[in-house]
Amino acid sequence: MALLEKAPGESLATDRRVQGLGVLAVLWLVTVPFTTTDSLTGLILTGLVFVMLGVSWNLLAGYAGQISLGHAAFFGMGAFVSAWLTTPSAAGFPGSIELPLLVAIPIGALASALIALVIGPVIFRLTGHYFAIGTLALAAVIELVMLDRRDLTGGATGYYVNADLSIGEAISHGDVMFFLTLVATVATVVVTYLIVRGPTGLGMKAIHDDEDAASSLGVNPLKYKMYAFVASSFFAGIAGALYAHFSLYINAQSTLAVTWTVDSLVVVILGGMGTFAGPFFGAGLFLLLDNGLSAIVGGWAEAVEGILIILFIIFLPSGLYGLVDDYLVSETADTGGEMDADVADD
Amino acid sequence: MVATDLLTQSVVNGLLLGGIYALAALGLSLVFGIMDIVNLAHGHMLMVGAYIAILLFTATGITPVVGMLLAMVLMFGLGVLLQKVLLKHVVDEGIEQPIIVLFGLALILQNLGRVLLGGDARTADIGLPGSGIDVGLAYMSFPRTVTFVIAVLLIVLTWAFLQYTKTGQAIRATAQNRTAAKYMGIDTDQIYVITLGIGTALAGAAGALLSMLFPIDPYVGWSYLLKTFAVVVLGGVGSVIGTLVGGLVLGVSENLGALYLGGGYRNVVSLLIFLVVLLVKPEGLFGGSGGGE
Amino acid sequence: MARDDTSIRRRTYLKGAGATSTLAITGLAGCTLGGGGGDDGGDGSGDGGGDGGDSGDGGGDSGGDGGGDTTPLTIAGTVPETGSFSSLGEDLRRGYELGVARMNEELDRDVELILRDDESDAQTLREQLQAIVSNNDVNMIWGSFSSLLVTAGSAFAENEGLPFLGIAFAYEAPHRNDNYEWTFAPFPKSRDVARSTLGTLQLIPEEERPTNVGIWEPNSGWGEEQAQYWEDTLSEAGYDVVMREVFEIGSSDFSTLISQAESNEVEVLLSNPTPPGGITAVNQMQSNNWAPKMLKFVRGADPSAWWSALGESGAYALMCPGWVPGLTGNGNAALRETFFNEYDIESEYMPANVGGSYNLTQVAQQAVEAAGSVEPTAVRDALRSTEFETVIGSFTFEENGLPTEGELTAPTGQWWEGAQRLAYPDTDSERAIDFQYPIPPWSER
Repeated sequence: MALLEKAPGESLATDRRVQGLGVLAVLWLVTVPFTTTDSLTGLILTGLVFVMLGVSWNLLAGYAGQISLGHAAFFGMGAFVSAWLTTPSAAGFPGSIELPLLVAIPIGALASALIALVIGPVIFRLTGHYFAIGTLALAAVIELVMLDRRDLTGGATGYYVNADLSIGEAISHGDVMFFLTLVATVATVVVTYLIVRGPTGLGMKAIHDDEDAASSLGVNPLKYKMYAFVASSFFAGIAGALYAHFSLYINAQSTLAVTWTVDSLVVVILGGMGTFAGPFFGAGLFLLLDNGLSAIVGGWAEAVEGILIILFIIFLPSGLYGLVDDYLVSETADTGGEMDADVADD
Repeated sequence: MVATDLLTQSVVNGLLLGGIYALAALGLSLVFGIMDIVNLAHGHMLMVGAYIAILLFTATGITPVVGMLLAMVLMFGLGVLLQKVLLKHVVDEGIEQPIIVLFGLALILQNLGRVLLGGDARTADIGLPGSGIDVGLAYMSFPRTVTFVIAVLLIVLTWAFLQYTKTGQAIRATAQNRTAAKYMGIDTDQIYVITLGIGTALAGAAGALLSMLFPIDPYVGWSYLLKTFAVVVLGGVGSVIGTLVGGLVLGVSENLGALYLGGGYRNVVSLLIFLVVLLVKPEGLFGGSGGGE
Repeated sequence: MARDDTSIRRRTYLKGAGATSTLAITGLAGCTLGGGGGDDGGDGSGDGGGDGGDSGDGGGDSGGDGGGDTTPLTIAGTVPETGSFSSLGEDLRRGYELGVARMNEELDRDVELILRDDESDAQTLREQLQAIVSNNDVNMIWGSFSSLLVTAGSAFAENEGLPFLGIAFAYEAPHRNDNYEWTFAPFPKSRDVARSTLGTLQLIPEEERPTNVGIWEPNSGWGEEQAQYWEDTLSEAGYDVVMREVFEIGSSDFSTLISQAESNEVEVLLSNPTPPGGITAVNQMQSNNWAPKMLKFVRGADPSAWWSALGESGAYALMCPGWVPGLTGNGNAALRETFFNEYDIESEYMPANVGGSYNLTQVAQQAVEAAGSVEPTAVRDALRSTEFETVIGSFTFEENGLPTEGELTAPTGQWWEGAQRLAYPDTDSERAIDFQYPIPPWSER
């Protein structure tokens, strides 16, 4: 029973109905702050943050095939750098560098991207397992150094961010942040989509599939790995900066913790690694799981998530999206001798 | 200038600790060398071994040295189970799957630890009578000395096992060349099972020993993973001597880092060494097979 | 009566709405217009015991006159039931509960305390408070344990414009730097702790007094402040600070610090580690066969877990938890009576933090009585102008929420035979003890 059809090799997103659905979803999200409580708005905002984390990690790991376990570092540095710019006094910086939030957030993201740019050529000398552990070690170093520099990060006490954007009584700070996050998420998604569907994306997939073969065809692996790494870090930085200015409190221990990397992984794997829609499904499912699970299984939420990612990666590698794709989408008659209709590429 | 007695004490403490690091790393190195899988859950297995010893000690007062034996047996079983049920699906399936599966396993173990034993750190005492040894220049505390001796003993036993027993030799053969080993009639599936069992058992043993020195909480898995991997990289995959030396080097540099740079830099030092070695000489100080994927 | 929701959460983001919110996500918004304040009938956070049934009418009474007004007092708070401060959570809760019971009896209004688990994490704490405040008509906020958690709670309260009381909070800098308007800390501060340390030292006969002081400074704002006060106060009194080293909160290897202390011949060791850190440090001192002659671990040696983890090895340790068994007057007898009636514990001595949190409830009660209402501004003004008499002493507040300098004598307690007993100042109570000095070497213990 197919609800949708798509030609092989084409993206589902070119289908008018899917696009319409996307627009509807965004419109519904716009109404959220006006129709629900602050708590709920905050929850959905967190969901959007997960979407950004998922989309960015997916770019690097799903498309370019570089399993990075250091994603949290870019999230956290985006948070801190933007916080330093909106609230310089808490870190002892001169007030003259203070910048408005809308400027500070992109700069925070740029800082993350810069770190990726600088570290990239070095860390990409590692491959496979070594790369994974190397990124884990890198994130750990960043976390430890930030924790030690109490003057800059508040150490164990934490860093209070000064950014009250509430407009009078009616629109709270959380609401304004929600809109900003929504805009950022849409931008992240659109830009990532363009990357993935463009020549860069093709290059990334090529090196993912077979780095040596790609290299012999003139595709420079390092170049595409760097594209993915820098872009992925940039968007993770945006997510971090937005989150910091929403919760108004960050802390070197929790904002740089490996938990954020775990979250990104879970979102992507449950949703479908390497697929575009994966992170959306993943973020939604994850949000449900995390809040619903706590109510049902109490302290076992983490273990359940671990079990799920194991089961999914072995038995359901295309994730939730893969399920949807299998059952609701049928491939039209092929237009050029493509192989079997199960090619769930997107 | 740092006083000499302070310096020598730090070095001695570091050497004694390094023995345990080497033990922990040996398990990781074996698995990596034979199966080409980096056990991302290795640190968490160390944590489980520690908890087994702590539980036994808290409930019965039996020294964690005995608890270590129990931990080794249980963890061997866990490793075997792990390979038979889970990992055999993902060995030789590229690198994505093993990384993620083991990551998931780490989460499960972490959660298990937290729910069963609480999020707070726990320790065990050595539980044996005895006092430290004063060697003039430094004081070798009793727990550290005992754990060092046991760790080295286990390392030597493992080396002897690999060197002189049939199974051990089969393991080494598989590490060198999987296909050739198969042709020689070695049941490589069985070898994988045994190797993972041994690797996990060694991790559990190291954990039990560590529990006598430091508090263990469910989240230590990650930092011990990085430390043991640092030792593997320092010493070279598959080399027992290299792992021992690597462990000692790590222990000493951690202590020196803490002494000269401040306590917060203890772990940063080990990570930096790890990253530097990884980038400069990934085969480790003692070369050997492995490296690359 | 205190009603609490102590489900343990792992995540550090908003979960106040729980399962019902996940249903809402699928398109059925629980339509309540406008955010913040007002009750949200949709989720299960309705009132438990007591009957604070005033739904959403903002307790409207103006002007503080006595009698007459009976608007219920709703208090939001968190305690660390899990995490690194979990050993204190129970003591804190008990003090609060006993206090609320007393308040319900003695005040002309209903008092309800909504207490949640903050998991010893500042971020979770904020979220829990946010959830409570979103769904209830809160007039006052009570703090958790430690400068870290209390400052997180007070930042929230300052934002909301609600009076905030916090104990177990010795850190002064936030009072001075953060323009506190609503925050009050009825608790000895770093400067009081340093004075108390000096006072304890002076109990030792002059010929036996030690001279070398070592300070282990945790890497935090309060760590630095307390270390600085110790260094200043003790140097001025003629002591020699031979060591002052910073260490990471959460580190588990103290061997370097111990070696350094030994090398520098430290006689008096002072620090303010977390409880798990303090316990680990003493364990490692024992295996490294080194001990100072006097050991004071502020905060670290506060909880009952100190003795259950260390046993006899934990004896002699001094602490400054705000209240110690042995203090007399201002409701101490009543506290003792209600505590032992209500709770069944093995020891005949109350845990220190029960006294501290009970004192907070006394401050809250006296402030509301003085204000004659629960309206935030009135209560705040009463806090600034009243003289309080609680189980920890008599004192007033400075405008930034600090207890007025010199009015509070921080009691120093000592662990002895399984209980915390008052060592300084000297009182007549049979619960106090003579200060035990020096600590014998490990081989003789």
